[in-house]
Amino acid sequence: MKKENHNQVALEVHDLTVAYHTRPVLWNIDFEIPPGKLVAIVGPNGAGKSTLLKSILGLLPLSSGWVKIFDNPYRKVRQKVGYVPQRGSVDWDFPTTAIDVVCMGRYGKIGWFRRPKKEDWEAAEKFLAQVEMEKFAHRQISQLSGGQQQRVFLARALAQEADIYFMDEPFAGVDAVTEKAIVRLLEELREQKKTVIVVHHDLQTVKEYFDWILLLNMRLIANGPTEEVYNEDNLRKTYGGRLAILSQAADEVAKGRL
Amino acid sequence: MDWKNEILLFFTNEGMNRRMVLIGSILLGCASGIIGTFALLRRQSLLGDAMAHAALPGVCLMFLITGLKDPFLFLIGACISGFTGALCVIGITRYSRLKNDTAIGLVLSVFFGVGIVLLTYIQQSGAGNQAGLNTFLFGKAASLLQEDVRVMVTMCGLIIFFIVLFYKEFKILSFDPNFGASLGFSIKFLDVFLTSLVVLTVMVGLQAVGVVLMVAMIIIPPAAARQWTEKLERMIIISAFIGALSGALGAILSTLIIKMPTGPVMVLVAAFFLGLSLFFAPNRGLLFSWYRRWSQKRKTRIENILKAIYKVGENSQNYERFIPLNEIKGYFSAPLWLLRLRLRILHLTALVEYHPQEVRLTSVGFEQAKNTVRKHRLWEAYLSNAMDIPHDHVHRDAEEVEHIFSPELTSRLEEYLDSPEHDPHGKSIPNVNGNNCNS
Amino acid sequence: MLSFFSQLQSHEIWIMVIGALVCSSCGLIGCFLILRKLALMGDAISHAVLPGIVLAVMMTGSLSSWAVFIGAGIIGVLTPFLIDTLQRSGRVQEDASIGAVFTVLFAIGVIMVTSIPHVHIDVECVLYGEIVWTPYDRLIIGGSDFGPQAFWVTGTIFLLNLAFVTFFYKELKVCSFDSQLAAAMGFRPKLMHYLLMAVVSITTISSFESVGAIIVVGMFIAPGAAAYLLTDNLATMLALSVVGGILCSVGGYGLAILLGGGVSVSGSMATVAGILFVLSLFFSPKYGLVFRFLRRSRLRSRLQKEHFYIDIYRITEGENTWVPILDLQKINQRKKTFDLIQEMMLAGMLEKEEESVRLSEKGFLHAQKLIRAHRLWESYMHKLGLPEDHLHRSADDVEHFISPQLCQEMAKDLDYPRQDPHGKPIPLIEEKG
Repeated sequence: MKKENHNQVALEVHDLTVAYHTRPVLWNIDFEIPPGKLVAIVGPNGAGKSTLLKSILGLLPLSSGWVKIFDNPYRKVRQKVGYVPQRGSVDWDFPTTAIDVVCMGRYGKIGWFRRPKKEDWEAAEKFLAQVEMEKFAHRQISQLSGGQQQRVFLARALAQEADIYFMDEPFAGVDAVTEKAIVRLLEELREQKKTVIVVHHDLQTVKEYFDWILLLNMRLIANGPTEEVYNEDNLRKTYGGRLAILSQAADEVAKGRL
Repeated sequence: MDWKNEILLFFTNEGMNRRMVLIGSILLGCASGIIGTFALLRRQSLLGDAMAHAALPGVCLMFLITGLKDPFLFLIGACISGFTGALCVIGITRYSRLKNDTAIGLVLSVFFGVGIVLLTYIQQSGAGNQAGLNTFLFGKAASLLQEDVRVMVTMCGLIIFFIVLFYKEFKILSFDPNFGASLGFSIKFLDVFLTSLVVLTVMVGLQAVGVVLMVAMIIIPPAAARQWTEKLERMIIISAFIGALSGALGAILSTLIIKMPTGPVMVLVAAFFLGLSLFFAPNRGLLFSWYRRWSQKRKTRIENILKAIYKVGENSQNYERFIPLNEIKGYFSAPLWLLRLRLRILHLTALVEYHPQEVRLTSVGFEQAKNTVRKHRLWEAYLSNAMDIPHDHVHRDAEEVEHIFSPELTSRLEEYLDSPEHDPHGKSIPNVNGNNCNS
Repeated sequence: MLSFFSQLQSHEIWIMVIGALVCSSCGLIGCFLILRKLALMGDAISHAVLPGIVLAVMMTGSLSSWAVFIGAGIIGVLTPFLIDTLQRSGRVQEDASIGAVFTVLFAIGVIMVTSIPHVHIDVECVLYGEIVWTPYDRLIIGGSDFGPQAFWVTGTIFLLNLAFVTFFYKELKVCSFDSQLAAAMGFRPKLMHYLLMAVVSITTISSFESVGAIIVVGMFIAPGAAAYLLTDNLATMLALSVVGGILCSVGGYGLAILLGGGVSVSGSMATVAGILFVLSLFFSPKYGLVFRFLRRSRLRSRLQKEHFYIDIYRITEGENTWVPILDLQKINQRKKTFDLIQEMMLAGMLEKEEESVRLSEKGFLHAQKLIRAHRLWESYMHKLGLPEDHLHRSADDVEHFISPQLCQEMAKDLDYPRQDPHGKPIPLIEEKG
């Protein structure tokens, strides 16, 4: 039964509308993503990319619509979901080491009250090595470079041993070495038939790195295999014009609801 | 004052009170050190301030309602109104456009004001006596009773128990709550629970050290502990230790040696430890970073002297001869006597051979000088060849990096530039292995 | 109320005047503390001045000497400086720096008070003040009585604060809004910061006798915070906080009398300040919680009514013929339908004849507008690529909010469509005039 679902849809978002306070930021987003794809969510600043990710993960309340991951609500399949938040979302001066952060990825599997066991630390070490950070395992996290911090976050998501990963701007502000490491990692994940959904902002590389694209600008513009979706027409729709009406509508709704 | 007697007294029956003070202070320091660590990391230290002040009306209301002077009831009242205060702070920041700091200041003073009104109301009706407020403001550490200490033991035990039990959960709550939520931990519950523990600690501590100084006990020990370690569990232990030590020393200093109020002395001892940590902690300590800066400066100075001698040798194409001092003194702004002194030190460290008035590089000194010049010129070449920066702009930059670059970076630079022979000014770039400049 | 004022004796008036001066001086400066997110710096300074006072008293032997002001001024600049230094060392966070510095200074103050034999300072008084006694400490020059000394002190401080705020209005505004911009424009935000801190500490000192160290924080913050919720204009906010300060003083004294006269006046003032804040938190016309709640519930009932129009319109689809009430009851509950009909007939939007209803001319026009917005939005979302079966839900919420102008723009964008994607006609509205 599970196997069958895997073959159908990894992520189904149905008619999702999300508002910050009263202002709608995402309108009626509706799409499905098949398993085993590397998916890029692409759109301009303020298009609602991170909002989409957070609302899929239940971190933001939905105005309407629902989300299913492997045909189940998120609550039921938490163990199968990995998450890489934006690097700026935490205090990097927190007194903890790289390996400790990676081990946090295991907490969900460990459950309440119990401590990480030896296997968990070994797993954390393994995943840290997978992003080529084993040398820095016991480094305090503020002493890592931006790219290294990002790799620690990726390793933490890997430690969740999930089937579907959500990554919020993992390529933002990283060095070339880290970018290569992330790309290699993404490919490994694809080989393992995992689904990876990445918020991405670099149009130059999106075609090269990803095989599925979701174009977003307050509403869904296109969703499909890269070769079908990545074209000038769609990009123009995403990045240029025609938004005036939608954002004015958002303003008026926000004002009306105040 | 007879010390021996004082100390003996401590262990006798009459010293019961002093023992209680000591034990109470230690427990309090320990508990606030532990709980303060999380408050500090979650940037909620001053929320404790608001809670502490907000306790007063709760205590008064409890007395007005029950008419009893039971410390346990007071504790419950204090906890309820302290928690209400914390909720008000959170509510005001969420439902209005006021910021966190304004909400804290507001709750703190208004609750306190209401408390004072209630307190003076009680006093005026003759039901209570004057002692209440003083205790609340400054604590009564010097007169802790056995039952107070019993409450503290319970609290301390509870706090340690819950921190051990929820260690992993509290860690993720403090570090990355969103990620914690995505893992399925109930962040709201953890938040409320940890806040309640803070309230409990503050309220128990109030009767010992008073409102203002209780805040100090949850801020200062963790801030000091943070300097010594990069690991959360160690930070908690160190913080508890510093808190307990401040408590102990505060109690001992104030009761045995100088007759001073315990609470403020405790805080001063803790502050002393904070100062100590800020200066002397390894890695994060100021002394340590001053030393690092100083040794980098010293290295720069030495390398500049060696470089100057090298350059004079390069001009005359002879590195072996002794160079008269006045040929190199033009390279420095420092007075001659200082240069002489520095050369003498370099002589002692075997980097140069220095006789009064003349100097030459030893082979070790020569290698170091050559390396410095090499880094300088390679960087100049890199800036002007690869980065297209005009020749006359590259020197200043290279002056700085020549003392910093690692050998790995230098050899990578060389590889990238395909081992150039000359810098943009036409000077030759010395090689590490051979000596391509020697005539 | 009137009798309360007519029975006042002169010392009571003095108490209220002095209280008003203190509260409004604090309120004025407090506005900037709030805007610059320095509220806790006020808290810190008010606690930290204790050692300054003790030192001054030790040297001059009196609490009401000018040395106290100098001591306070120094501490007032020293405290933020220490906090800044600690924070900028990068080793202690901002809030912890504030907490560590003021508590330590306060502890030093307490030790000084309790262990130095010749200083007689009532620490309780320092912490919560005793405004009731201020009228009896008269200023006597050359044998003639010029009224309470505290009046002259707090009056001077009030004028000083007023002058400071007026004189540096522009600078304070820019520095509070964007200190980097201020620096780029050639103002000196650092200098302004320390000036403000010095003024805060001098104000604190002048308020000690009357309200004390902890309550003074409330006087700094509460009037300004209440004013901040009432207005978006800085000058209005300053004025309102002065008014708030006066209300705190008068109300506070009134409350103290009401509770029997033996109650702390400064505590009552803080209580009144808190009440004023809560009032503005709930009843501010623009940001108040009550009005927000009312607006929301009014919105809910409006949406309900508008849905009702749309239902009637849909049943008759533009013809505006009589609709049997039974049909409407199939969509809404029976009771609700009855209520809605009553309400809309009163508003003149609906006509009723036996067991049928019909939209009035006004009601019909309104329904047309809503339907037009709904269907235009559907067409627009369809054009943006939303599948047909998702369209209705999307438009269901938006139709109530879009303005006629936006409808016009959408229509233009869609090239003035006659039908929505489901094939239903989009009504045209003839603009009158």
